[in-house]
Amino acid sequence: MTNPLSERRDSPRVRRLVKLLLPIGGTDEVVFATDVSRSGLFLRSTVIPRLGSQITLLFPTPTSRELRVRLEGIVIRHVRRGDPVQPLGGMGIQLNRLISPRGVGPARNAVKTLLGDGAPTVQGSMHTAVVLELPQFVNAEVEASEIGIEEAPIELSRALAVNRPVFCRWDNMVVKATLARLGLRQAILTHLSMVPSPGDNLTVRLLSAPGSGRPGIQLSGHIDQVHRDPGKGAVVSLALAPLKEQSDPGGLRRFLRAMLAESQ
Amino acid sequence: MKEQGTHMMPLRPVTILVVEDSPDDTAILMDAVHAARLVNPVHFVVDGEAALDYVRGHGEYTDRHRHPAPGLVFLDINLPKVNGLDVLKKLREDPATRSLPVVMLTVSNSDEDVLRSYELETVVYIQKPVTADNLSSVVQSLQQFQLALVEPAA
Repeated sequence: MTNPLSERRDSPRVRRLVKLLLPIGGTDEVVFATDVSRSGLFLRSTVIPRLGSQITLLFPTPTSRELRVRLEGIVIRHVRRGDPVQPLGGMGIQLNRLISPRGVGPARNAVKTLLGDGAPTVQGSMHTAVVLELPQFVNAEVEASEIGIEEAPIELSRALAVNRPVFCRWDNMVVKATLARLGLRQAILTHLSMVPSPGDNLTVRLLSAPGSGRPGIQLSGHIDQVHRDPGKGAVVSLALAPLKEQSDPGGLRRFLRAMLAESQ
Repeated sequence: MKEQGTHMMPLRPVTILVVEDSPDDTAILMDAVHAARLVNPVHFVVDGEAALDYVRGHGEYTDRHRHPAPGLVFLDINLPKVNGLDVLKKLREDPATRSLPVVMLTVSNSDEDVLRSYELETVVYIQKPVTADNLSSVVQSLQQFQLALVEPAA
């Protein structure tokens, strides 16, 4: 069985065991980062925030919390206990930022702790807070070749906010939903009135909005996570098939470029 | 279950109304109902006008003991007298039936039909033939999202 994280990792991973703290519910849960790459990590944790949750992870030192390096990211995957690759279970985190209140020194140490000898060079001030936008470390060549533009679309290493109505088809049913976020490898759908099952193949159609100049798209993949939110109905993570296997890769490229342009 | 000072009323499954003019599709749907082991009573009508009369309790459907008010409707798009989308539109225009869950059934895959159905707030759109899994999914999903498919017994 393949590693549930392998097909969505943007850059090489390193096996680490890094102790971090996850502030949640008023306490700091001890968690361990394993399988660290430049864009994310797997977190062994008994506390599993919801898919799509923004989380903050703290390095455990120094004593004063305000001075600790912290990581900010999004929960993009849940892995159940008993999984053949990650038997203790946990969650996949897409990292967005590293913040070092005490300057570049602790930031370098943190990056080296996470990535070991392969850690990239970190530049910044020695004396003021440093914020690293982590997608800078993503292997930009992969994304550029995927959608055929010269500049590295680093924003696509994280799913862009879309928030448009779509129609989802699985088996013989068509259900309306909201395409909340879209990246190259993942889509997050909300407000589904019917609940697909993990493993179901889904086709999502976003019809062109009349007069908007925005194209419609179709994308397909399989459901890898489902959870139910009283306010959002079913929330579904769709693991997208590679771009070249989509039925309309050109349309999807154009759509992603358009969304990228809007976000800048 | 009974708590002191409260009375737990027994629940009963709501009635499902199927609006379908094709005998073959009706037979397939009945098979799906049996295969899905639904306990809900299922009533059938064969055209859009009868569907509206049934839901409103008009004409031959005034006796609610024989024709209980539906809590879920499976509605074919292509119907005689009044087509399915027009039936849905009229249901949504009436405050008494605006929130009635409706599942559209069709052989059509056209964007226009799908769009129009969702503009009129259908719950889900199913391309025929309807399967037992479809019925189970609909019933289960509606229950999870608190569209009650059970009501207190009178």
